[in-house]
Amino acid sequence: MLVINEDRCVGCGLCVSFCPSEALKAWGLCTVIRERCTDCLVCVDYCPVDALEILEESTE
Amino acid sequence: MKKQKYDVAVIGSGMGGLCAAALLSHQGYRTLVVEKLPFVGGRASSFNYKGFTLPTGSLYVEMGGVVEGIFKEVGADFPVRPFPIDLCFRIGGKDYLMAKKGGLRGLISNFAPENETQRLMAALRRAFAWSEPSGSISVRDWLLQYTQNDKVLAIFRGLTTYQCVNFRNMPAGEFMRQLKLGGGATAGAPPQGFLELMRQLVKSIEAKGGQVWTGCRVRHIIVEDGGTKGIVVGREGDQLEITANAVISDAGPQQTMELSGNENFDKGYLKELREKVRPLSYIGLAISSDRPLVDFRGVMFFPEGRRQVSVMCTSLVYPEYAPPRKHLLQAWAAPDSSFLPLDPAKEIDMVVQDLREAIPRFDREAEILHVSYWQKDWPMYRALPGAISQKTPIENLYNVGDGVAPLVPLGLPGCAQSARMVVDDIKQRIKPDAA
Repeated sequence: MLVINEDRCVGCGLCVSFCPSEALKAWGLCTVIRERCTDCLVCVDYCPVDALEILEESTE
Repeated sequence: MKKQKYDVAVIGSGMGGLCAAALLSHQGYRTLVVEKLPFVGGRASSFNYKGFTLPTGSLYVEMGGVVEGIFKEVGADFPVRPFPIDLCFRIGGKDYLMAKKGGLRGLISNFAPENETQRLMAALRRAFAWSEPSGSISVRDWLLQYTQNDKVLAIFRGLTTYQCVNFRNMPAGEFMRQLKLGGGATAGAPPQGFLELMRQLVKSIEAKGGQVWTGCRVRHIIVEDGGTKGIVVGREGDQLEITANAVISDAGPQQTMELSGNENFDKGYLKELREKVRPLSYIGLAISSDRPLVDFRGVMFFPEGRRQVSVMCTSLVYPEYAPPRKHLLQAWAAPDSSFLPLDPAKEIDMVVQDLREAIPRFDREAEILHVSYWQKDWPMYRALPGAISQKTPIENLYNVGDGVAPLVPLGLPGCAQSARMVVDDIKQRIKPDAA
């Protein structure tokens, strides 16, 4: 699952522009629209400050 | 670990990194540029969004200056078209165009009596021609010695917005220097976007056998016996050691330090890094409409608002930036404090309220396409010019870019000039290995 490190996010909006599913919003800091996110990870590559991370979901 | 050998490794493909790599490639140095993001240019790039070409940072570049000089020297095309640098100030609900000659005096005399205008102009003349004011007070505090007139102060509030710094934070000395350096310069922008401009440097590097790897992360900078020996990068799932005689970092002085390990740095340098390399915050909005939201081909300032806002309808000058039958208004604003991280929700609220009041058709016709903040590790500028040297305490490890810019115009010229200074130093100290 995609998570946003709010300490690192600057709100540059680059991830919003490159998300193929329009699953990110950045009017303020970046937020994920869960129902649209497909965990494709494109945004992770486009974040200049490494604020987007993948959190492995626990299967337990 | 697999190894490759280059003369020089460059971290980051912003204006500083690519200018340094292009100059070195043309001097016979085998050069590798490693860029973390999937595209080149850093904060001097652009991207396509809903048919619009939007900037990652830079909006314009000086023409005929140090940047264009480097492009020429390395045989790169410079696809930049000049834009009108007409400035218009909306003050007290009226528009005041700044004349090309004697513009500042003309503007001031609209609001101040002759004796006050003369006193302020005389102080400005001394600041330009005799002695630069102190950098330890803000331009606002400097001005308050000569005028208390809100409308006169608003003119200068507008001018500091153009320099991307808050009126209350801009050091008086830096303001005067920028006004002096910027006066008479021609600005332009690449009609196909900054990414296309930066690709010209990539072409020039590759034509000389250099390489530019995008989407490639530097793990660390190798430091041995107080000097650098290269970098370790992650590439296609593997770690790769790049040995190099010099390493140039365009990732910002802070990141350079973290990649090298702060135990390798001189304590005095670390102190200067903390105190002098202070990133600047800024806000940018891309606004779409069917007809131009302002009918002015230049930069318009709304300096009396809650925030320092300026706008330009860029599609009037570069129709390429917008899809057919659409217009693009770009708005920029200096936040409450330039040197502190900003509160995005609060700042955007203020800026949008200012735009609504300044542009009566805003609510009916404007659609906010994209909002960008620059701050912290992705700032407007990593520091004001002259903060620290390009050389780090680690031998053969240099910084380039806006964190280490010398005293030249803010933004891209500083990045390019820092690259030229580093390349000149490398040329004197390190010969390229025989091919």
